[in-house]
Amino acid sequence: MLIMNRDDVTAMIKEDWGDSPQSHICNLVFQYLLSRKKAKHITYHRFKVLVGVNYLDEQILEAINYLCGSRVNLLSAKFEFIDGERVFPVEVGDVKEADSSGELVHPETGELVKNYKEKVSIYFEPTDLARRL
Amino acid sequence: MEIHGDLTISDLEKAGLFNKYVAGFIERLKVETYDDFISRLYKDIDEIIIDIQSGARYLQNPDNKKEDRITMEIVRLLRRSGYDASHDTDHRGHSDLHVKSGLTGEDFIWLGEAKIHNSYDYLWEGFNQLTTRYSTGDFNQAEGGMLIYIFRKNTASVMSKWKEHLQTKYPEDLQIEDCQRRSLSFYSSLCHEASGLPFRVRHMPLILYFNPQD
Repeated sequence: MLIMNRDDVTAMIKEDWGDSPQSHICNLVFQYLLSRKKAKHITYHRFKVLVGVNYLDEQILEAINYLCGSRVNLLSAKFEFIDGERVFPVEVGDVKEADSSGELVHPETGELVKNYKEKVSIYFEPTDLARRL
Repeated sequence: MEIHGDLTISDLEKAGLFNKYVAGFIERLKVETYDDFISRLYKDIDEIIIDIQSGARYLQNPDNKKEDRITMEIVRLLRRSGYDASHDTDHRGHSDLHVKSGLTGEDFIWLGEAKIHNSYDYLWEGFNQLTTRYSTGDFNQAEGGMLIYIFRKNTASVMSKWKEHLQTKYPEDLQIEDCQRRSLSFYSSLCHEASGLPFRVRHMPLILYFNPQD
């Protein structure tokens, strides 16, 4: 089904998740995105604050995973390497290379970072589709 | 577990230990190639198969829509994982399962045929539809799958006979390969008639026999 408008998104979420907690989370995030179309850096923590304390991390993550997927594709996920106060964007290819070698190449110093999984964070931005709706 | 502050790769991996659908999240974000897509998709389908098999006792009643209902459940669970999955989509005909992923700007497609095992000729019909009607065999749809719903005893024997049946139909061209992830599944490869490229099919049984003796 091609998404033409906001109602299509709401209908898809309902069809796929029914009245589950993930459905409520998806709708809350969707409404948030509609009000923040120019946002470029939304953290997971922001979503947690948005949905409140009544939901588990795994429910929020399932919903965010769904919104990042091809089915509704409202969110795009990005990686960044956090080194103290400094933040560097990281490409998917860099993360895959690190997965193979066990070390991430520091984007600035070129040094090898072993515990990169604790230093590479994921943030989100609305997709072109979310901005158009 | 509870995540505080930024969401790191480590946080996601830990969360995945408690929820198999979350477990695939990080890998789905890293899909760049068709091979990445297929590798993740098969892991997700295997998880879904395990879920459906665990509910086999609810699927025993006679129902002429059973094949479609099981396939729809697979579609629903694939969608929850983020796939653009559909049943009966018109793609050079109406394939049972159409899965698309297009996050990198290219549409990666996987097509599946789903059949309740009644006879090997019935499975053969589905295999033929998959390989000669629905798929183009192009680089972005180089693989497909047979989902075989087995309500009879001894799934391993059914799969072994199905493999022999395929080899009889293609005595020279067909390559068979074991599945390393799940021993009951196997792969077949042959040259796709339309594209002239190799087309690989994963043959996946669902163990749905249920006859407790207690």
